Amino acid sequence: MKSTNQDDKFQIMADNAPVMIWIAGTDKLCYYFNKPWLNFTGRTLDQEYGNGWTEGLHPDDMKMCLDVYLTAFEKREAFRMQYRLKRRDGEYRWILDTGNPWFDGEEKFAGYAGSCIDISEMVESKRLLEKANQELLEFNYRLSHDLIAPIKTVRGLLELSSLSIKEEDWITLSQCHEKIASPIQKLETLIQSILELAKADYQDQNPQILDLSMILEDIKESHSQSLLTNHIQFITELEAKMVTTFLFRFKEILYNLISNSVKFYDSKKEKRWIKIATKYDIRNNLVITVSDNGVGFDAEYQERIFQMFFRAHSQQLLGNGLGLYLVKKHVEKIGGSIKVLSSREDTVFQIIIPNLSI
Amino acid sequence: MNPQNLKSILIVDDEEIEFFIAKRILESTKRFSSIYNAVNGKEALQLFKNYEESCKIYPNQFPPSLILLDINMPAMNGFEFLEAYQSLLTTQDIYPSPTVIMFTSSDEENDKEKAMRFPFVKDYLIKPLSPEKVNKLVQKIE
Repeated sequence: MKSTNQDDKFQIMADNAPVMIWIAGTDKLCYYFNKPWLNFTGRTLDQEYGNGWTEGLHPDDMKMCLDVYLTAFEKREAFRMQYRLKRRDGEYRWILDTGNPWFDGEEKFAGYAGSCIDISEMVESKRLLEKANQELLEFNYRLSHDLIAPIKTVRGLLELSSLSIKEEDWITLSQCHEKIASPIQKLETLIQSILELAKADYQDQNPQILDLSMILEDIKESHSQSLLTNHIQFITELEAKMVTTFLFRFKEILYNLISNSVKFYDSKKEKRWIKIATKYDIRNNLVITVSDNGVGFDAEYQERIFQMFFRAHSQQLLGNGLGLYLVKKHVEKIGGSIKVLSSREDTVFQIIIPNLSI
Repeated sequence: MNPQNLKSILIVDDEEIEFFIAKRILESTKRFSSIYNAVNGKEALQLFKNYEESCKIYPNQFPPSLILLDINMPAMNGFEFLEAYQSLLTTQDIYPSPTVIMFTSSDEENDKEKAMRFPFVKDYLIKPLSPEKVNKLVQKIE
């Protein structure tokens, strides 16, 4: 093995260690940064020297960072902190910085030495996890409410039935009997949606080349009865005919949007229609618009319409507030986007789906 | 009972069946002159915003002496209504201003606390409604 002296060993270690290292003197000023640090910030030792390194700190983290550093320094205590530091490409990255006081051979305080690692991925995963957890908590809360509501309605109908029997009011009794099917149906639909939602989380097959007219024909077929009864015209304008994506998710997106259009038709209009148009954009993404001249919803709900359990309409039987949430979830999973182009007069949803390669 | 003492009730609930049940059970007490429905907080609020007009259009119903208010409703939920109704009371003369009774399937303590903080909310009824609950309610408001 090649022999190296103590200083060389230190230099090799400092410049090749997978961490960024800094050293500060008793005056709190930094006088050494190793190569990985300088490579990360893209600055010279002269620029970083003293307090120069703080120029790379994110302005929002500056105060906290200096507070921790200076407080620890006064007390000669070790510290650990997280802050954002500008990388050479201009992007702020999350850094975990651990600093320790160090003492010379005579046990005299000589300054601080610290090491830093880039923990941006970890911070981002934590943020996503917290968001998912929050969403799950909210989901549980809303779900338990929505599951119990129809059961309470059934119990209310039973209370009223008992009262009707007592009062020998046979008309009310028969109305109770008629109405009992509706909350049970609602409960069944809700449970069905929850199962669909669970599938949305794990359904991932391989992308396939899909024939749009075949898929739309299928969806039309499954709504044929409602389309016929409510005199709704189903129009397709397919400039784009194929897309390469995930069949299950893609079909669910269109199925839910079209179901909404079918459900929320405007009974006051004589001519009712649903139109599905497709084209490719310049990046070869599939652009689909699903429009209808149904009842629509107020423009103020455009932001909230995709939220879990959000319902814009009072006729609770028609929706449980999970349909568009599910649509959005599927769209995101296949890397697409969805927005409301219009919600009054005509309701228009636009979905952009990337054409994947197989 | 003197017909003058009969009260009118506004039930704010988006569920048609809930309204049907509550209306019939309340009717059986023979204490109410009129029981009518708004399908969400927004519709109910509109009635109070156009106070004079509502009095003219619904002379025997408006203003109600009592509001039964559901929590989970589309467009404007029960809590959003309470907030809006409270700020309306400070800017507009609503007299006599009706008592609000929450009428919900949520037995969450948090929801109850949140609702009872409003001075005009006098009770918190958990669905389903029953003749016993209605009798208690009638005793309380009379």
